[in-house]
Amino acid sequence: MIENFLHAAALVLTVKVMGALFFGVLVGYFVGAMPGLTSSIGMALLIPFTFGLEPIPAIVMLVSIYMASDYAGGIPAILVNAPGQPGSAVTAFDGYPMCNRGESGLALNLAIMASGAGAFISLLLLVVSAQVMASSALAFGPSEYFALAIIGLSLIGVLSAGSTLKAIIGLLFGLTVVTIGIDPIRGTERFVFHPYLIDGIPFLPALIGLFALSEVFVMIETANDRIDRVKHASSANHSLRTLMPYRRTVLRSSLIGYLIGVIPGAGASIASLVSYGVAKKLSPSGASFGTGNPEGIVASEAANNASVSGALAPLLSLGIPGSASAAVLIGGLTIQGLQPGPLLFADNPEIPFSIFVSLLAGLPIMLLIGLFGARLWVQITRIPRPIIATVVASICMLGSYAAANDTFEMMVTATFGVIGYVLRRCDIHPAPIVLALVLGEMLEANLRRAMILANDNLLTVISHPITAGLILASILVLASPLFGRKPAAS
Amino acid sequence: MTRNIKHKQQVENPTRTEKSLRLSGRTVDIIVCLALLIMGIWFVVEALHMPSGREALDPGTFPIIVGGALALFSLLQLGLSISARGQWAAVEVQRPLWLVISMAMILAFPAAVERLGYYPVAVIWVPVFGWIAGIRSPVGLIAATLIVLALGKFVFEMLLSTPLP
Amino acid sequence: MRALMKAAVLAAAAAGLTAPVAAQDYPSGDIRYILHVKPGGATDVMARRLADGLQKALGVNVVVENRDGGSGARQMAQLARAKPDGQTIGSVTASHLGMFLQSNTFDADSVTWACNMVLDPYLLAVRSDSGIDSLADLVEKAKAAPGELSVAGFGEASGGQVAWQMFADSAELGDGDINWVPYSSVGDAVVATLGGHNDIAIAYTDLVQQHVKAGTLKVIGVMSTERLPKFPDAQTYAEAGYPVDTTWQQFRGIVMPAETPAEIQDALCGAVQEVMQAPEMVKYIEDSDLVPGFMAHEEFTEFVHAQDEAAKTWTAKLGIAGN
Repeated sequence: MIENFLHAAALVLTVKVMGALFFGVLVGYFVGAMPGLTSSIGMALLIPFTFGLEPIPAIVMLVSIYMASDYAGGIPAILVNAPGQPGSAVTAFDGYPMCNRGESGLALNLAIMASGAGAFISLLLLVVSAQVMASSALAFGPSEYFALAIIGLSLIGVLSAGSTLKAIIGLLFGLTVVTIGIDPIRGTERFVFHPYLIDGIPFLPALIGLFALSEVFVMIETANDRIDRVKHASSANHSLRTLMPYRRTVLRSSLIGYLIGVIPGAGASIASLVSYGVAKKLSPSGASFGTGNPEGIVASEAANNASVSGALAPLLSLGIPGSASAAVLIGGLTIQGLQPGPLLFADNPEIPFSIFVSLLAGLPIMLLIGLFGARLWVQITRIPRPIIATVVASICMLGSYAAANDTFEMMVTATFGVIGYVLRRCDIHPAPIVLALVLGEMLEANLRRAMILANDNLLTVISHPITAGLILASILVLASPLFGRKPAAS
Repeated sequence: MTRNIKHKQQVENPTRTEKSLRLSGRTVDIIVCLALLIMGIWFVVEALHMPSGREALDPGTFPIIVGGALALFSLLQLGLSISARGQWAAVEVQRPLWLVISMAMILAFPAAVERLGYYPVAVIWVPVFGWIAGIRSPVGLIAATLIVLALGKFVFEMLLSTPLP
Repeated sequence: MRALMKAAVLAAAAAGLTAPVAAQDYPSGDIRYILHVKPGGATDVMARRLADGLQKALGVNVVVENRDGGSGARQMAQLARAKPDGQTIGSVTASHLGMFLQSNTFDADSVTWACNMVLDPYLLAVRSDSGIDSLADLVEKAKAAPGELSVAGFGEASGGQVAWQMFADSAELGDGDINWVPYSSVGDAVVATLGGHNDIAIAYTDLVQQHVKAGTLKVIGVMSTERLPKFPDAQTYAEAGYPVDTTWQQFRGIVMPAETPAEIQDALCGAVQEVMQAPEMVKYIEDSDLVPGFMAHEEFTEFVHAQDEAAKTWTAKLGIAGN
């Protein structure tokens, strides 16, 4: 192992590879901070560049885009309520209120530090457990995914800030909307009133609409209000000690993020949602989550960055993509004539170990860019809100266009922006809707798959050990408010 | 770039006397819940016509459940909103006219881009939208337009080689 | 100028001695290559390789655009809007056939089928410890305990499901003897089988060969006329006593807007054929375990229409999907 590490370090720490890493980080930052452009899109767009590269710099470049974009996704989430990546939507829950209180500097720094800590911890976990984790990635079949979706949805009670009834209505709105499109099992068209809806409502544009664009409308509406967003904005230099009070949250969230990242198909979004829910449940200041509690940012960012390493575990050990970005990475590996699969560690140990080393080497670069960048980013809060609203609206449109090269996505963003605004005025917040959009298809498709496998016997479906355990846990989560105000430890 | 805009901050002070629209929270609730109720019913009705297969769970099953539940809970909230008495926090919508125009502009943007191409549309759309959003200084309007155009050109077209229409 | 000459030479070579004017001018500018898949997948990677090669061969830029969505419907809409002058081309795979069945807007005649590049035969894989040793064994176990076994594949009415039904029909397996479980991709189906959630996966070579090498999966049958070099021990269906129509294979080719002149199609496909024979492309195809299967315009059109008919017949027979 150590030999492999040293060998990989020698391969990575060359001018050429470090150049690729730096370039990847820069592109990743851009892609991550731009709502609509996800890490997988950014990586895919740069795939043609890797044709001419050697395997190591090519892979290092792609991996650093992947990692950096998850760092950067939190920046616009905090500053303008426009999550740059789906996984950073949760960061906006507390980040944006903090920014409105004039604490954008603190929020950004915490986000970066938590990201770094999450990435580091999960990298350690990845190095020691990549091969062991393979089996747990495989343990998830249809019934287990169904149960995972259930436990995700049970967070509704935790995520809702105001009226629970309205949160449920928001959740059901999302669940109803995800049934639009082709039926995942039988292929029947459902509610397809526009030919492009055959694949369903595209998630990313809907997310941008619900968060960023609805916020644009709020900004337009309140253009006359004086909000002192700049109060402490310039104090964007906090030492690493700022993170210390949250070390338990960081540890826990990194672990949750890593474990959820390992499960193929459950990525950063689910990781940050679950981690946020758990943190809110366990934190003594849980009640103030959603109103600008720094711990919420920490929980979200540590988890969504940790899920990156998590998704790499099944990729490196089995050749199974744990996320869309990991799938692109597999494409990048095949271009280089490498076969990601169970034999990768045996046949090409330099590849997994180079990925480890580059993740490690990229970490300080990312932290530095993040911490110094924060001083620059907070200046955005000085820009008058009408200008921000205009630019953000345009970026939302550009970003959703780039997600699929089509104006149809812009239309979806626009529509969900209006819907999101109206629902917000009725106290139905985007969080439960997003929860449903993330989990809806996972819930339905896997339940139906599991039912086919079990010859339509629901009892057989839920008697799988992992399934039963997860469903029990979600019942506990749902029922926990009924147990009264016992100490959070239970 | 930022500095320019910063100086203009005091100059900007869009129509302060503009009226705002005050709605009772109850009215908003009732309108939204009615809309969601209709939506839920529509999904259920459509789903009832879907073909049934060999399995226990058909393509229509899940939409019927979630659409039905949406209708049910919206109805519940509707009932609560109608019957509830006492204090309702008013929902205040400021600058209602500008808000509605901005929504219409956003909704019209995709179709315009589809027909006329991104850059010609952006050159006109961004300053108009900026004006509606409340930018009153010419410098602010120009800056916003330039930022948007530059982003399209440099980030999307050049860095990420996404051809814009 | 040299590029133009080269293109003209290619066009002449491909179209025979009397290449009309249209083909000589081809290509008259950048070529848009519209893909129906997301960036990064196997089809995308290969298309980008091809674009790279075509760029050199034709001397014009070949701009790849991903218009994924609607199982190819979105790409079809783009092609339908484009001029039939050969400056716009599109990728195509067998999954389009499933979309044609479901769509009211598009069918196999919505585009012209310029040429095919590669083929990819279906195969059946099981876990090594599943206790299923051969196709005969599988059929016997299924008949002994109907509904106990399940096969995982991509979607409904997909090429994979038709391939599976061809086998089931040949093996006289009844409805419900083995449950068909649709996943959202062939890769997902393989993973579910690897995890033991399903018994059998219907997949392609490159998705299973690493697992076969590692000893976790084993291929019990291949749907082709000859055994595959990567799995010399796996019988063909016919060898095992279940003859099926082995022309039913996954394919990757190129389409153009309907009514693109045949000369232009031949001009492009001449270049495609040349690129496919370049050493790096040959190596790539070998590494990805694809079977080279170049088919020119006429042959490909015939092939696709036969496949389309088969898809219609089989899905009608099964009463699945479609409108």
